[in-house]
Amino acid sequence: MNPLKTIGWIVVVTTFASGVASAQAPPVPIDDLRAPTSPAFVLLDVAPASVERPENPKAFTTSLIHTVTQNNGLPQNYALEVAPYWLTYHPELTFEKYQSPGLMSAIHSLSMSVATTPMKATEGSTVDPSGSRVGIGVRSNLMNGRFNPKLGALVAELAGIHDKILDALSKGLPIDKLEAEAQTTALAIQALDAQRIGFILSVAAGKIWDFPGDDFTTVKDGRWGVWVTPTYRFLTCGEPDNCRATFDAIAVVRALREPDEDASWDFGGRIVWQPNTELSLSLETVRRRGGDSETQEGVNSNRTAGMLEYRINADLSLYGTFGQDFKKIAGSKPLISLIGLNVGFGKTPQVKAK
Amino acid sequence: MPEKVTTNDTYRVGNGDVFISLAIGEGQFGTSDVSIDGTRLVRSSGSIGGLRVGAGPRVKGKDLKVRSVVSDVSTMTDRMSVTYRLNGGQGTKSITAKGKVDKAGKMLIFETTFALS
Repeated sequence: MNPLKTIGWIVVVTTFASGVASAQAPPVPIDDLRAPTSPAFVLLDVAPASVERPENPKAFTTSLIHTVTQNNGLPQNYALEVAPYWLTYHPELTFEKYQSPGLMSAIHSLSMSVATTPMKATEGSTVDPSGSRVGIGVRSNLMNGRFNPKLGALVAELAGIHDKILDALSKGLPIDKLEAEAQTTALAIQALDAQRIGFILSVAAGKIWDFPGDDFTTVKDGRWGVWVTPTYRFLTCGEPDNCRATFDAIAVVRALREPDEDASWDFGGRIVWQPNTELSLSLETVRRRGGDSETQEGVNSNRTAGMLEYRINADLSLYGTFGQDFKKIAGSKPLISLIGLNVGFGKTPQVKAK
Repeated sequence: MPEKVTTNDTYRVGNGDVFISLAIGEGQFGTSDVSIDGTRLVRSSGSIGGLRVGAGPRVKGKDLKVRSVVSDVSTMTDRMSVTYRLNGGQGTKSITAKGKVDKAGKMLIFETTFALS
């Protein structure tokens, strides 16, 4: 491990990404950026959290994950996630339909991801592990909770500001101050939009392939998995208008299958406390059962990890995960030590009226 | 001053009543004024369904103007659209005006005028 190199890398990438984000993209609303738990990363066992927190997918997200214990100083895990629905116009999607989508929630929240990570050597093996693992995944929220109860008051406030703007426009008066008021209120609505509460039911699936020697002709079938993640999210504070604290209780049931092996099952849960919009803290534990412990990693063992996530600015979030991973075939229980950045490009920057 | 999306179109009326509906899409929130030759018919937030503009012969030659203020309240997209649908005249006309804000939470003003002929 080379801590200086690691810290240096984080500083360089943070600076670069901040520059890119500020030059190309507007601020991303609260809760739009999160640690990447795309299904592809989860299946590749490089996700910061094995139990995904339900979220609204951005139209386009890139993720880098760096393992602190790697000593080459560069991130080796990359992911792209796309939410196809939000790549095009939807004139039929009114505010009411968007806030209460019913079964359409599954379409609105559908996202597809692709991720890559280097192949790792099996403990004790002398075989050269060079090559890449590639994973693809999909996920969707079949049930997406309900909107925050404070939303109605903010929408009424925005409607009142719109009234004043229309009156001013009809009289030819300036609207600069009203426009700023409208933006403040709209951003407050966005903050609540990203913070749906109540029962949320997510499903996900994915598949990975190995490419030894980075040769396409050597492709080998890898693991596939399918899982369901029910969540209950509630506000942990009462009436104050500026209160955004939430608590998530999340469970996961996941079926995993390696080629020519029996299926294994993950059962676990995660709790997430988000005291404010910048910080979130979580703890997860997952038990893996079934399969064959002689040939499959992680069978009949636990993964327990804590995670801290901090929003550096509106476009960037930094996160770290530390804990104990599933047991390896040789019996060791690897340390989980991840540091990562998430950069959002979902709300595209270009303004082109009509 | 916010960006403005301006659209001009025509609609041929008949002898019957003319109606207009509008929908603000992309999950965004907006408020609209509908007026004819400068006289406001209605102001409403969200969608407007089947608003009677007037009898065809009476509104012929007038301008039907819709001004909408739409705010970016969605975390999912910066896109905005307003769809107008006119009927009661010679056929049904539906058009969609589209735009996009450059910063989260900003607003666009959509101004669409139908010359009723």
